[in-house]
Amino acid sequence: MATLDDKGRAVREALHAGLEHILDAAQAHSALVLWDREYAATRPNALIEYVNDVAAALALPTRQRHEVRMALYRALLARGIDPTQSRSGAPTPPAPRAPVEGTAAFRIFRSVALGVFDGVRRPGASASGAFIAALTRRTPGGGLTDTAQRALETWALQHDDDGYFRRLSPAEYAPLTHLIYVAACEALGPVGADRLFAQAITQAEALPEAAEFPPRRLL
Amino acid sequence: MGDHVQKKRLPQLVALALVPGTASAATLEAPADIAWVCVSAALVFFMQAGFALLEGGMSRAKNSTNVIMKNMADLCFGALAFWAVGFGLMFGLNSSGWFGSSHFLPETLSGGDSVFLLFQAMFAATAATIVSGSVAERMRFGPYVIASVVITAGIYPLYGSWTWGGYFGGQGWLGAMGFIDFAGSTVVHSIGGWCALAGAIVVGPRLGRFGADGSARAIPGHNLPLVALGVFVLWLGWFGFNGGSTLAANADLGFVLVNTHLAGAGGMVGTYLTLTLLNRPVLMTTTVNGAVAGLVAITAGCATMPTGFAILTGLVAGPVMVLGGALLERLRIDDVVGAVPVHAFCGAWGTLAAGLFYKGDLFNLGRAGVQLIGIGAALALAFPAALACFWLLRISIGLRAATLHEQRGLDFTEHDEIGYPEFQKDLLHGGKG
Repeated sequence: MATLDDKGRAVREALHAGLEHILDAAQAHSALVLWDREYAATRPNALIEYVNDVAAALALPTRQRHEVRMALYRALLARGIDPTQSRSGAPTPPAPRAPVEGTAAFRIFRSVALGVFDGVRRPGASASGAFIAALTRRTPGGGLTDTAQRALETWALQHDDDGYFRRLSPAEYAPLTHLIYVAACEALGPVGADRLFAQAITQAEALPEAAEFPPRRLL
Repeated sequence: MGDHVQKKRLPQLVALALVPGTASAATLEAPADIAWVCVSAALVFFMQAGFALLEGGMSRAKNSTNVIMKNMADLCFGALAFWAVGFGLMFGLNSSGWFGSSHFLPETLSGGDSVFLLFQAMFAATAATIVSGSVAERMRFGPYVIASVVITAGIYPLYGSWTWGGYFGGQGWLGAMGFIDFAGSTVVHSIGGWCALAGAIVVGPRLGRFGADGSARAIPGHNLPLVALGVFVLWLGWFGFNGGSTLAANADLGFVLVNTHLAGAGGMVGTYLTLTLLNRPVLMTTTVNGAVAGLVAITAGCATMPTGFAILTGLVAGPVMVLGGALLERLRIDDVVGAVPVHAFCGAWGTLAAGLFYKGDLFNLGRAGVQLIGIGAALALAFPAALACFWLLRISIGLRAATLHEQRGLDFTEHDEIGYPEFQKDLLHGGKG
């Protein structure tokens, strides 16, 4: 059985691999020193904060900061570590959600997407990893842009990062939902994905916004 | 006494098995024979209903109508294609031994020959419809129809001409070698099965069917009672399939039908024993497919095999199907109804068994060698030809349904209607477009 120290070592290895994938050796070393000094012992789950600190310390442009963050998430998932879970393995309690702003279509889409993201996390890191990998690998189609696909990947990893989606038109949510469905199929199989989607749609139908934007329009 | 009767009729059955065309030409004059073959053609027609129930039940509700449409297309497009081209290619004057060259678009056939055409058109549709179960839930309807026409007008009759050719003169090269395939374990079932394998490979697995680590995920069918009913209907139809292949209403029918029935039963028992020995769940869907596997296997040798060996042939078909299905899963080939193990693998096994268990000449290795040549020729013709056909369709007009269509179901996206409108609301798009 893996101990907490084993897990700490595994996390460090994953970060090392992720950093080396994006940064040069000296930058990756500096970033790891920062991890060991400021985060490893006291804040091992504060990945977003860590990436922000790394970006500030190395003066990384926004795009590269995004790439570092994605690389770290991917490296962790590839090693079976769910970055959204605490060191003890217990799921991080969801942060209290502030009232959601945006159009009815956005709020319905957000509800369905978060329902699926949560459902995909439930079976464990391997399903999450397969889900993220599928989001990345699938070629965008049906009007879906590369930017939208990247934003979806980021959102799936950090559930509070939904800014990109607030400004989309209602018609743009359906192809995104389809991409989520395809990724869920690859992660859980079509039976699990159908079940998860049915639950997420049912939940969204209970929202007041459903009268204005029926969730089935996403399908 | 039973032995005596069987010995007396053996030469007749052997003659039928070796040169069915000649035998049929001689026998389809008597009214009783014509009536029997008409009834048999109707029974084989009814097998299409069996395939529709089996394949429709094994697919998800959102694709059930599409599967049944494909079965219907096999029957209708197949009938026209076989009448126009396939019949002449298969049974026309076969001087070279490789293909028939007369009786295309036949319009002036005699009554007996017309009945023969009707019966054979049902066989052609059966070969084609095997493919639909294998590629269900992700192949578009239009390209499927084109492939079905290619099979019924080209691949199936071409191989058939090698084996059963010469109804209007000449003889196929495999038939001349003494290849035995009484009612089509290879000619119909393996040919259909190899085409199904090619289709499944080219179209690829259903979305999410295999995990990233290669593990297979079960996608249960939507209506298992329909699956079982489909197998019962198929079994009934098989009495026409094998019994009608005698092309004569005489006492020999009993022998053929008993072998057919017992081999089907053996197939189910063999599957049950295999699943139990392997400590696997005894799934109804697999077990009833075992009966079909037994029926497929006995089709080649039902007229020439002692009854005990017919049962053995059916029993062995069970493990052949179960292990064949596992092999396909390991290779990440998605065969929705198990058409390839049932029809291709068990058809090949049954054809070999027809040579090995030949009544009065058991385990003749020379005969078995001829059977292997026939089995190999079927694979060598049907698989690459179908592979090329499906690949050309894929690169030209597209073969695979879009993932969005897989999500919504092909019933809705291909035919604009769904199988169970009162019960399929969960994942249905709110409005088209």
